[in-house]
Amino acid sequence: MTGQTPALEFRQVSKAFHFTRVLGGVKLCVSAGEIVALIGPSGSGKTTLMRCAAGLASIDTGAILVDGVPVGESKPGAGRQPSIGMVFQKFHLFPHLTTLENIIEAPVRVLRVKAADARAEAMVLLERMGLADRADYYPAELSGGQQQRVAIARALAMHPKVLLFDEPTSALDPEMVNEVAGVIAEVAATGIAVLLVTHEMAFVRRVAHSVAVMDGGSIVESGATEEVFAAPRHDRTRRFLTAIGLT
Amino acid sequence: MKSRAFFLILGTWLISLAVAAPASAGPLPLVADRALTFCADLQNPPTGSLKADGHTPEGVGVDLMNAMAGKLGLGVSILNYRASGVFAALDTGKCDAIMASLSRSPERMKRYDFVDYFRISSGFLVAKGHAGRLKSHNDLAGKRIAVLLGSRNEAWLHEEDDTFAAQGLPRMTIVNLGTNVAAFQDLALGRVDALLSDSIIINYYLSHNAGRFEIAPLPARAGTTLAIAVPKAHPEVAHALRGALDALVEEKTVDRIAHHWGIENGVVPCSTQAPCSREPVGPASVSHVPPVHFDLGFFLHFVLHPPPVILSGILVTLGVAMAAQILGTVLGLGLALLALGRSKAMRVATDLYIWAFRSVPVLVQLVIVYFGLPYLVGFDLFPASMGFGVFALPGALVAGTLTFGVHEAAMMSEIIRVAIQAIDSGQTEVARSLGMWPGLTLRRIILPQAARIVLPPLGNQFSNMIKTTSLLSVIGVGELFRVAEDVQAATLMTFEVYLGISVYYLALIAVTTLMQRWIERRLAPRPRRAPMAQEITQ
Repeated sequence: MTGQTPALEFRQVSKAFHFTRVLGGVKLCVSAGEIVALIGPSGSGKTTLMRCAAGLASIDTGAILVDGVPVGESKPGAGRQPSIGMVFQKFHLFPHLTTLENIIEAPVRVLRVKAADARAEAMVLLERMGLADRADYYPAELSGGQQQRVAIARALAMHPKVLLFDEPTSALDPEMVNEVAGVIAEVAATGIAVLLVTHEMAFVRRVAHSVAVMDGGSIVESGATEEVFAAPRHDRTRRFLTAIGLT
Repeated sequence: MKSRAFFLILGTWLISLAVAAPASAGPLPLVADRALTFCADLQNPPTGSLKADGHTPEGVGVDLMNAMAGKLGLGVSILNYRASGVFAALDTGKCDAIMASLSRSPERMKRYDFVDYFRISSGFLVAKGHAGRLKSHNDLAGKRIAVLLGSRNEAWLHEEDDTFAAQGLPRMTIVNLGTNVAAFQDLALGRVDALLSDSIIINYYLSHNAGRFEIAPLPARAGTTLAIAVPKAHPEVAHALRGALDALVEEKTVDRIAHHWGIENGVVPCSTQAPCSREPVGPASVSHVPPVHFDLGFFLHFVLHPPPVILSGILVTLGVAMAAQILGTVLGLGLALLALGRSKAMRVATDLYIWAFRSVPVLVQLVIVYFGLPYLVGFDLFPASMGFGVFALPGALVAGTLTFGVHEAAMMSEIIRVAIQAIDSGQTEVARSLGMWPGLTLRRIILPQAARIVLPPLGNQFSNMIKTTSLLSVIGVGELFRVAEDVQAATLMTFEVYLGISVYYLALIAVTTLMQRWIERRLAPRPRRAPMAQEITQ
């Protein structure tokens, strides 16, 4: 994890909304194949940081780099491959398209991949997600867990270097949590850097290699998951872990 | 009965002596108490129109009505109808008589008594310097002639046109309009070669537009007799009017009225002493009065075997409605996108557009565009025939389609804007995270979803549009309602014809609704099974 260029790096990222600082010099690195959980109290800036990385919000100062290259505010356009993918809390599948069409839409339209090739690749992804038999289903016909796996497959079809997960467990039934943990671990195993925001500490312990604790718009502490949970060094980390009943 | 006839004769005698004592009108079966009620068409100066105040009738016919009522010691009430509606108004007892520059026709004489008042001739009014183009009868072939809808002149033009066709000459384009004013507008804008009308109208426009027009030397058809129509059921009324008119002719009041309006050229007053029609004058026998009834046979034949003009009317109605709806939807989409865009100036501009086009009645917009715009820009935007590559369309049709389209855009933009706003913003965000740019997101993700929301109100709008096309009748486009007016004028089958076209409107809307349902089903995602069952099986 050290000595090489991190897959995702936040370098002194700051942002203000109406003169209120929401991000204050965030520094964070995620290596290829690593799963980092972003935790912290509500309003600490976790989701904003993630939206900035996904290009949904702009940053005021600093830089967000993928493999050492700043993503900045690169405008989307034909043939431009976004290096960071995102799986949304509510998945946001395109309801008018089938599972397969959801997955091939961006590769065909943005990356100009031939439809037949995109379809073949999508089927491989669906196979991995265990959803090959749901290729022609519409999102409304899928369960929540299935919808999430389609959303993951859709993001993976763009070959991102980094995949962001916003609250991956919040819209799922409790028994589905293990399943999504397995999928995320599998995604990371292919060499993708994973950054996730969640409130489920059990889930964090299960999947995350390391955690970054955010408070007041900056990272107050980060480290290997069990170390941080077992021996939090920072006062605010301790307070947060106490507040959620983990210490 | 006998005493009433005696009384009437006595009254007529008194009038003919010009005795100041009015004839007692007590026994006359009138709609209103102690007043004659006329159905008139007050859109045709100088015979009958409204003063600039918008409610005081004036004109030759109005003066005659007042004078006749004065002779009978009665007041006058004039009801203003469009020419196509006067017979229906008389049949349904809205008035005692029609005074609307009517002439006799065999169909009309079956049902009404006529009291002649003027013998007039007809003429062709053309732009100054164009008189040479209409010298002989055959010069009419291939020309565009404006004429009053349902008039004898129109019927005569159609007969002439048939003879041209039989001789292999080019046919005329007969532009039949609902008022002489509209017909004259078409001449003034150069949309027609000539206006065929009676001498009263021709004299009036000639004298009111000094130097701009002249009368073509072409001899128009033999003269027409203008007459007041009275239901056959009320011969007493016809008789009283005839008596009053005789007295007015006798004392030269009719001449004075004609002179006052400057129409005495080519106009001869009619009276019992100097009849204008050959058929016997006097109370008609009351025995054979065809009752006003519903002619089921005519109705069924009209609905099941519509005449070709009705079919072409349906095609025009559908064609205009579809073209205007497509135009309105495309423009409306553009407006909706501007309204949702970042530019504040554009948002204000679209708000103003929507406000303007939603507030002004579409009929008003139509006459502004068709009759008004040419004056503003200084040339005729919508000439008689407008070429579009390989085909040509009548200017009125184009003007109507454009007007309805831009009006519809205001409605559609609101519908589309709301539909786009109803789409979860997460759809845009996820598309952006996948590298899709705004235009692509709109086309592939937002609009297909918005379309499903837009479809039901769009169907509603289209149904309204089909009905709105009936307004084109005002500018002389032969859509369904307009051709039905023609059929009504020719057959006098009022209820049957208008109910008949209602059946067609019902059918058009039914087909539209079915198509809308079908498209809605096609657009909706089709669940194979309930999602609940899925949860259980996995």
